[in-house]
Amino acid sequence: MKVAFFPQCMIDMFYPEVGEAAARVLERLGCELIVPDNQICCGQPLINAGYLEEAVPAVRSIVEAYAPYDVVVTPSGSCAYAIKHDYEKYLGADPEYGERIKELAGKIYEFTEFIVDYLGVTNVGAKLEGKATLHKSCHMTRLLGVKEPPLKLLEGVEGLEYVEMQAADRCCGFGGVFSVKEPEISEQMVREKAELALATGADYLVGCDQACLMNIKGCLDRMEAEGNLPRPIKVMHIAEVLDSGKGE
Amino acid sequence: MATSPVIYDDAPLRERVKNALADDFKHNAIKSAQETIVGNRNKCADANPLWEELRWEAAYIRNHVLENLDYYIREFAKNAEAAGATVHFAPTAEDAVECALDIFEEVHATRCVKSKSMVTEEVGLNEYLEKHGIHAVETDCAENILQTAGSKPSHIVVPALHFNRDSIRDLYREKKGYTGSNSPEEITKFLRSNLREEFLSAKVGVTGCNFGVAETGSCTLVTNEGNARMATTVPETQIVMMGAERIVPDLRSLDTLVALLVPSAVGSKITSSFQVNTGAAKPGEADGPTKVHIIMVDNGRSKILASEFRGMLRCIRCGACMNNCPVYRHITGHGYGTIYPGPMGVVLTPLLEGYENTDKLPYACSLCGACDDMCPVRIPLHRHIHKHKFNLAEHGHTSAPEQATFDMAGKVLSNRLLYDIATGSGSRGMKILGGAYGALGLSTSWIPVLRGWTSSRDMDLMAKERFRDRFAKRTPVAAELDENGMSAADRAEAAREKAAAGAHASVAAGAADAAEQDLSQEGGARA
Amino acid sequence: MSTVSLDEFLKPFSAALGRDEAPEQVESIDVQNSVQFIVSRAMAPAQIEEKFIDEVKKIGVLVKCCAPGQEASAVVEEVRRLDAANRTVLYAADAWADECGLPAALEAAGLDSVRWDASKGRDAIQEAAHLDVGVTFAYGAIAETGSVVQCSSEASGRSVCTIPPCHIAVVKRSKLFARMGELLDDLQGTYGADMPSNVSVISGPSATADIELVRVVGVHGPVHTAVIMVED
Repeated sequence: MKVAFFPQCMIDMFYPEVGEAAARVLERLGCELIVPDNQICCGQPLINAGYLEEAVPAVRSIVEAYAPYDVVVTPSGSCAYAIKHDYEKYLGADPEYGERIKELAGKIYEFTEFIVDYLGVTNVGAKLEGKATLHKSCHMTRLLGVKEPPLKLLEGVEGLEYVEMQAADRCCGFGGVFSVKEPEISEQMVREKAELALATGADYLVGCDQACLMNIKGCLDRMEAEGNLPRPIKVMHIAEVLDSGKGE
Repeated sequence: MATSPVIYDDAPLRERVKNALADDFKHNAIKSAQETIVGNRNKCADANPLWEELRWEAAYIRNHVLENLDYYIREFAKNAEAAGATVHFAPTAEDAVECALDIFEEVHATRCVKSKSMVTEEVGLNEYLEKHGIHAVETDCAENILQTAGSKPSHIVVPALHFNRDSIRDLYREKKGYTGSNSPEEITKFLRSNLREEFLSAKVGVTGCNFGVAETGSCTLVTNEGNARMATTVPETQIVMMGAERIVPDLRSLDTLVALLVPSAVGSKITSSFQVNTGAAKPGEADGPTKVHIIMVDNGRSKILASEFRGMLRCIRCGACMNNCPVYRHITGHGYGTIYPGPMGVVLTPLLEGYENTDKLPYACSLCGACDDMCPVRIPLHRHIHKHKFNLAEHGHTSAPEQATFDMAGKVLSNRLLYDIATGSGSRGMKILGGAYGALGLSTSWIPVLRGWTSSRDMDLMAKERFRDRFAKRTPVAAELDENGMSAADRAEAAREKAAAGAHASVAAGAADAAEQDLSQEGGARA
Repeated sequence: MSTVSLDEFLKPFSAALGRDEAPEQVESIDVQNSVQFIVSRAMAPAQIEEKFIDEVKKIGVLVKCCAPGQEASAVVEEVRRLDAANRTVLYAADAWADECGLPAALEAAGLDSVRWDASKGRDAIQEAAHLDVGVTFAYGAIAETGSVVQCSSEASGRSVCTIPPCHIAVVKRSKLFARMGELLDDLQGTYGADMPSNVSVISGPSATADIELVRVVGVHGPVHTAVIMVED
């Protein structure tokens, strides 16, 4: 099955290993991945900051890049949301691209949503020992409405015990440029999120949005540098969890 | 430093946030208040299998009223007058307070008892009356604490949370001769007896109105403390102030609205008192007001009705949105500097006060959508906040350097050539900064664009090689096949062909999102 | 006054709705068949009563059931049980009070009592402030929230159920409704266009959590409440 892949700009620039893990998981399931050239960023950070005009070139490039494909998968809950909903809501009336925006909305899937709902798979044969907790990112959970798939997939990982953190779906404070425009507020939010994750005693903090994970990891790393980290906890994208124990 | 009754602190957002965060007691008080109220609200919602349906009902009822607001204002006023009330129409805040003053002068009153009303705070009633020698005594416990201390509310429903019991005890010792301990029970008992005299000698009672019932011309009051009951029983004159949009069509619709309002606001099923007052006391009745004046306030609501923010007028002032807001959690009501804090305040305040006076407010939001989940009348608050951000960027309220940055970002993130250059140089640049540490630490926080991040967090370095480049070079891994030689994808495709139904189930939020779009035209597509 | 006429006031609202003036009629929405009423219509009377007893307990209110004609002695019993200083009783002057023999029962029990007397005018309110227990005869009750509904009238002033620290409401089982919406319907049917000046849906004693979120019962309204349900 041919699947067009949208890695997300952060994964492309900062965390290519997450993209590769996601690619491997999908390939094992029988997907043939295509990564188009002219895609970089879905434009969400600009859209969320209010800069719609400025986001249009990015939006158009995404729409154009993925137009030839039937199925598009991205390991980013917030990008999936932006592409599926924000594009149509804010630019669906564009005379040139409106139709293709609607079409793309009908064929974009978040990574776990694709595996569980589209392929009907909840166990990819992964193995990882330890306790995991899940950060349920805002855009994916509340706005896109993808709630069960990541939990089902974690359940299917051999050796992994899931423990829910308090306020798992509360915002981590990233919010795109919010994290740097209102750093004092963002700092409080991410700090509390990190502490709630640590309070579960989990070995792994898992997420489906690398932006959120980058934010929380940054906080945890700083806590460690300051000598304030009570126990080690590894931040992992769910793609990396599902790629575990496969001997790569 | 205040610019209007609505905005009581116009210091820059950054400063307000810093001040709010410096008060640990207040910070922790708001955190636990959120947990308690939302926890209780969720218990009520979970115990009611019809909760989600009721929210649709409530949104539908309120929307219906808004779409016919002129008709409903007229019906309400007509029926209120027929029942014996006098209805006044105030286009502006000034009109509203002047009207109230006239009523006081007419009955030669220099004092009144008041039960909590947001719209009276919006128009600055207390200050205006005070200037004219009239003292409005706030009888709601928390409002009385705030009034006695000269403080501003930190929460819409439990406004005095930033006071601990010791400071309340000290406050009343100093100002009212209280001699008891710091126990909440004792202090409350004191307030009961202290305000009793005020109630029993009051000539005028001032209240708000949760819902005006168009069909009967009734005004309703939802309270727990009994102060609204006292304020509408003893005084001979009653002044009711209400936003002109706070109307429901008939008595029956109160069932739906109240069933949502109380759990959303205080986390319980019902309050100890829900009053439906119609007209004035009847001839022969010994108590209740013989003169009832209802002041209906526009103050910008008709403009909001005409705008893309019309849905905001559905608001029933429950405060549930701020109870769930992760930003409010940390900056508390005071961080917003407006009498309407939290998500509903971020939407409403710019609409009442203009973008010039509130341009930082919409940025105190990460667009997480937690507010939408709570709203009993399904206002897509985060969409409205987003719309404010669009408007601010489009109409030049953001700084030129910021606009330039985003313009550049938009170009780089859509053009392979520019992106390749940026990620090439970016990666090298970050390596230089990150050095041996392997990440961007505190030592880089002097760099403006990074400071916001690295003052409190580490930032991972850009990868040596981007994903797209690694992907282009790698060999795909083999598909895992079953005993029939089929992969999971093959099986899924086969099943699909069989079912011939096609596309995956649209996830709940997407469907709800679409339904909400049908409900009203909010934050719609660009023309 | 700087207020304006209704017509002036309505102009910007009509303009916002894209019209010159408010329409004469508007198609009303169907609230009758809202989901919660569909559910409540399906409830049997026994379920409704059970719900009421349940909910009243949850809000910390004592409910006593009694046979018709026994409400006066039930009230007396409750007055004795309530934590009231001198237990002077203020009772509403409804016909019901006389029909059930309340004044006589109170006297026989040696309790001081005052009958609400609207002819005293505003002085009646001041008098109520010195009395301990208010007894009223409710219009009806609501099962969903454990509430009693009190209407004001010449015979039964708002003060009776508001000012004394204790409140006892007597209500008939036949006037117990599943939900507020249904009770209000019934009330409208009874009163028509002449709605009582005050309808109070009372659910337990007054309370606040304004100080450190600590719940305190008994603020400006009644501190103790009780309900006597007459099984008619």
